[in-house]
Amino acid sequence: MPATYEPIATTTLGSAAASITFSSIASSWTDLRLVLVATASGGTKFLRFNSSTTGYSNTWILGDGSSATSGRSTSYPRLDLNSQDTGDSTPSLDTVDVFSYAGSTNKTCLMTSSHDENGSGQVMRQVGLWANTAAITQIDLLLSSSNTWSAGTTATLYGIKNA
Amino acid sequence: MWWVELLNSFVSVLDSGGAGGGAGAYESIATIIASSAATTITFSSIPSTYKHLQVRWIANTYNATSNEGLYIQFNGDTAANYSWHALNGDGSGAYSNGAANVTYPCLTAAVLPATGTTYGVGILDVQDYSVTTKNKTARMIAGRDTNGATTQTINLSSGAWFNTAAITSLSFRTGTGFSNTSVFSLYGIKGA
Repeated sequence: MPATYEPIATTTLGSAAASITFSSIASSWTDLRLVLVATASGGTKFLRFNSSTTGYSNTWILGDGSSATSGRSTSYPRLDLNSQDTGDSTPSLDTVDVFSYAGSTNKTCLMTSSHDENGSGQVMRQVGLWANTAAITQIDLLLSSSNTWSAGTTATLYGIKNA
Repeated sequence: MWWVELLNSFVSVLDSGGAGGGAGAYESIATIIASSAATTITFSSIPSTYKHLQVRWIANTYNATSNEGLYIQFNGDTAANYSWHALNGDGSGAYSNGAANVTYPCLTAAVLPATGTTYGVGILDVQDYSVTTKNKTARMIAGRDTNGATTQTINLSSGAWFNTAAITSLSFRTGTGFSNTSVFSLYGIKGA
């Protein structure tokens, strides 16, 4: 019997890598929570479920220290987390809560992204949709424009099980 | 790197407390699957054995044409003892709203989609819910997305219940009723 809140897998990069993948995710839990503490060579952080390149959309609210804005993407090939400043040594913190990931509904998730660089950076909260009723068995963390995750980047996937 | 070590230590704490079918610092208290068209679901007889409460929900309603607010009430209190604020993004702009001295619902945090295969989701946190010397404060992140529909939104909200009583029941309400596939899961978070 799974615990209520337990780590499923953790990846800590020993060297730069183009992707981080959690595969063969069991359907044992109710929700998934992904915690990403990352630095990268640049680009936009994004994820895909089950290697799918279709069916994503999201709505976000963002504050950059000057203003608050909201935007959206529709019919997109990936689910963007946030941009990652090039060559940063200060990690960003991202979380992704995926609800009913093994259920038969479209998959909705809540995402947070926090990044501060002592004068730049942003805080972002968003809701994301993968319009697909398949159970999620794989999550890939990727970067745009052939960028890479830096050594030391850590990603942990948790499972949350209700009563 | 210091932040890798910090995160790994966090994982270790969860590892040490997470095994055993629910034992640990984060425990499942109860789950409610809404009855068809039920307008209110209630967690009752909530024990005071935790430090904080969290509710994770995935829900939609029987309103086929528009969004609905999700309202929250503590201990069945229907007096004007609540207030709330929200920061919202609808894909076009960011805006804030709120209300004071609200009677029935204390927190209208998220709009729910019409019945379908796409659901609204949210996470509600209630801090120090059993402390009898404090008014109660809650926060929620919630949202829904339907690939460009004008009703999509991301909400961050806070709410207060101006009452120092320990919270022993927690209700969620919507106007037309929840679909019978809506699920509300209550968790308890322990202190040291």
